[in-house]
Amino acid sequence: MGVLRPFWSPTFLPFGKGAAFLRKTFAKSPEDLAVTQIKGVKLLLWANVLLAMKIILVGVFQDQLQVPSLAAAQDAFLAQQSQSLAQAWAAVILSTATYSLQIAFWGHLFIGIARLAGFRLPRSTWRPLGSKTLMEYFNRFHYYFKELLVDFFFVPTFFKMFRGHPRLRLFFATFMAAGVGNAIWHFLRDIDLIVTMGLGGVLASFESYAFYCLVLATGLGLSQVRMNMGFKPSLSLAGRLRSFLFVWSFVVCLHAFSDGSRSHTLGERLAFVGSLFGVS
Amino acid sequence: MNSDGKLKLRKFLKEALEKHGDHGELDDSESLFVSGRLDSFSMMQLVMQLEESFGLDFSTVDFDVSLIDSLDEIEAFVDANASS
Repeated sequence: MGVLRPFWSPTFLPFGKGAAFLRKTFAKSPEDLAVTQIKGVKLLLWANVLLAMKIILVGVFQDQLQVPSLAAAQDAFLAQQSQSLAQAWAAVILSTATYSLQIAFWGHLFIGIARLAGFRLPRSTWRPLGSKTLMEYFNRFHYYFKELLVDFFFVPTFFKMFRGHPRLRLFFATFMAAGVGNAIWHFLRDIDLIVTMGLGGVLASFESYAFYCLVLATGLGLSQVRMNMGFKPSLSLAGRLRSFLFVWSFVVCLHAFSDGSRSHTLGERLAFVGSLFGVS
Repeated sequence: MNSDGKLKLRKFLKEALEKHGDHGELDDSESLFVSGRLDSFSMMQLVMQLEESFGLDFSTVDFDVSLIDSLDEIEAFVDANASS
């Protein structure tokens, strides 16, 4: 997964996919360059709007209305401190919202700067609230991460495995990308933790994210197969609302397992999510 | 690839573009995937379509997206690799 990282992409995630792809996307004329740069400026402005929204959300809900952070809500649940169901739900939803805004801001920042440099790159996050299926959400939320998983895990699996069984082929390739690939990438990203936590500690604290990958991959795989079978989400207002509620309920519930913190075990998180549905 | 095959392919790609909210024109030489007009999952749908319609076997090909990045390139690829 090692690729040459351009100046706007200091993370492990290659925004712009790598040198060969970048070369093909560079503006081909002065007019094209101007349009690309204007799009870059617009995207950077939008990134700042999203950042402001995140700051306002935290200021209003966390600071003024005392909605706890996700970790604090989980701690309170585990310590059996008094916490209303509404507070616990608010903590999960707020954490999902701020995380989503952060990912979108972060992606727009990198792509906006790349566009200023003349690369006509697609956005990393594109209208995720409008996703009508889980697969569409995954595609729209974090494009370059998805592309990385597709290139390294989906495509090789898809070309080699279960070629005579189209639906199994699609499910398995999606599972390998969103599940196995996702888990491997995140494990390798934080591999330096082995120095401080030891291999056992790192593996144990990774079980929650591994569970997240398993559920996400299963959901995405089924979503892919369903679309392949001809499912078309309704475009009516009620249909869109149903799709929105389904996709984002899934995302919110799963977020409790993928918030990036290693401070709670899988069992503790399962118990916390269960408590949100009245299961003790 | 005969003209009927190309017509079907064009229809398939137009539908894929429309699903992505892209209602623009589709020229034969225009980039589909590298330009970002279509994503990699659309590419897989295209691969399945090509396998089904032309009996192609992608597992034997040293695959790169540039092989099927435009209608012209898809046509050339099918002509060079189709088994029927």
